[in-house]
Amino acid sequence: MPSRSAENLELPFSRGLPAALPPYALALLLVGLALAATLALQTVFVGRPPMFPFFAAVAAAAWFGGRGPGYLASTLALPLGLYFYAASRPDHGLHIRDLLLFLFFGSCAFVGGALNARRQVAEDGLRKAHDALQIKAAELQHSNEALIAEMAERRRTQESLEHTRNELAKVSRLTTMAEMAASIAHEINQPLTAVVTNADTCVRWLAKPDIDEAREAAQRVVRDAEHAAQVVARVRAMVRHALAERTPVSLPTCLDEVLSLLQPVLAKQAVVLRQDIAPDLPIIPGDRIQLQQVFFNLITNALESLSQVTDRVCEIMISAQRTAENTIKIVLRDNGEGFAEDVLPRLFDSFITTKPHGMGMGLAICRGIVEAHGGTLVASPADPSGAQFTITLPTGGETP
Amino acid sequence: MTEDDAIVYVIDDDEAIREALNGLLRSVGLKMLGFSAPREFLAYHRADTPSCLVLDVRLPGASGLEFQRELANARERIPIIFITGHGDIPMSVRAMKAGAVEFLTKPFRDQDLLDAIQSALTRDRAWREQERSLADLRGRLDLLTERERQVMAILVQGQLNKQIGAVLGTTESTVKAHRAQIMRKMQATTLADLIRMAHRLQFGEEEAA
Repeated sequence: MPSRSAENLELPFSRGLPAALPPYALALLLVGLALAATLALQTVFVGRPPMFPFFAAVAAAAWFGGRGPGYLASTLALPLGLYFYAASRPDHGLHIRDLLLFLFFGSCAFVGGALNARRQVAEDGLRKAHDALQIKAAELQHSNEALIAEMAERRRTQESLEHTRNELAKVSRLTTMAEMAASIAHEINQPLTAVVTNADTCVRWLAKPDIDEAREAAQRVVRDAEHAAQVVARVRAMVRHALAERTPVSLPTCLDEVLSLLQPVLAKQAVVLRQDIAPDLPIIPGDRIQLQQVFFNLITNALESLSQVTDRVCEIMISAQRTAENTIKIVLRDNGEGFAEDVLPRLFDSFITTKPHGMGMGLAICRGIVEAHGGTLVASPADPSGAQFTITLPTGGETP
Repeated sequence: MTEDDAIVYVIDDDEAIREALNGLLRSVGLKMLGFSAPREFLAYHRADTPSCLVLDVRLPGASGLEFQRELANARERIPIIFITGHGDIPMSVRAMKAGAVEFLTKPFRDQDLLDAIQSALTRDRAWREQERSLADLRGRLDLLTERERQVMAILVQGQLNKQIGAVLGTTESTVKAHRAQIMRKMQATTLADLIRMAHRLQFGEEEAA
């Protein structure tokens, strides 16, 4: 990590070669170089030898080495410089003005170098801080990635949980329905068995013939058949009773709840939902759960039909309006596969299905519920494709 | 149709079905007794006549199949015809394996049930006949004295009078006298007849043991 950060770091005056040498050795080397340069230049600048190599050596030593090497270079360069300066004078003497000038420039070089060294230290610190920051940033990015992965995992878990829950609900609904159907079948089969046996018996007595016995058997046929009819009536009454719970229902709320329930499916199938719900819909008396079942079934059917569509944008349109004759009209339309013409007349019959695993109960149940609310449920093909279901519900007042 | 006073017992919790079956069986001259639960049937003291049981699989409390096993465990031997509203193949296989005569699904045709009842009664009559003759034989065996039983045990193994005398330490003429008594009391005409009776009574085995 730190090495990567150092590569990224582009600071001016970063230590190159000088950093490889110990600072004090560097100071000695620089002073030596200055001495060599002065000796070499002595022949060129006769009479007034240049002092700048010593100033440069002091400045460089302070620059690269810091204050200590700066002192060392100054201590060495000062007498050397003075020596050359004095040697170059015809009188071999020192003028106080020149000495002060020399000291001033020397100090300037030293201070400049030392300041620069300071700056380097600061830059070093900055670089370290920068490195640390980069490490921190990398760590943060790492944990951010982990968080995103965790969130995705969580979403997947949630989806699978939801899927399982839906499956469970479906299975339990089917199981309950199967149990109910088995129970009703048994209830009807018993008197039916008696009817068949009594009718057979009646035929036997007629063949003898014993009219009295035959009549008795025939009377038992009538009685048991009536019993079977009573069972059917009882089942009907039970269904009606289940629908008898009436509370004030707000259709928009009812729809909203169903739609929020189906929201994940709508999103997954990228279905565009268009709603046109009148704001002034009256509260109607009904069974909220049952009405939601109707919406749920119809929208689920639409979604299933839309799942086959690939060549156009999938749409579900829901509108609810109050019509003049004290009824609410709700239209659910999709642009899915629709249904074949020949299915239309039998669409609401039980056990009629176009789905490979359907029970064919959904629409039959829907119509049963709507009719129990005193309304109607009508299916029609949508234009240019898809299915349209129109529900009308009375706004109350009259009893269904 | 019936030369004896056969009884058909019916266990079904549905009164209409019991009544319908009663009507049908009366039309063919069969006597029927109906029960709404196995408990009632067990409490009833059945007459010693050919009979069979028409049993509903779906019963309050124990199922018909369980009741079949219960009867078998209690050595209550009666042919069973199952009737059920929702029979499946494994259920019928189980019932038939446990000795049921027939497994009918409601609603059934009258002739199917009557045929099953006939074959059940035939089976019961055969059982009863066997039981009766065996009881008769046991009665004859009881008439024998201890000595005669000893002689008979060796005799049915195919030994000669002389050999029997040697085993029991008596003379051949005494054995001959015993043998005549045995044949008379057991109402056996030939030795083969006697051996067959001994076999049915498992007489030899019990003596050897």
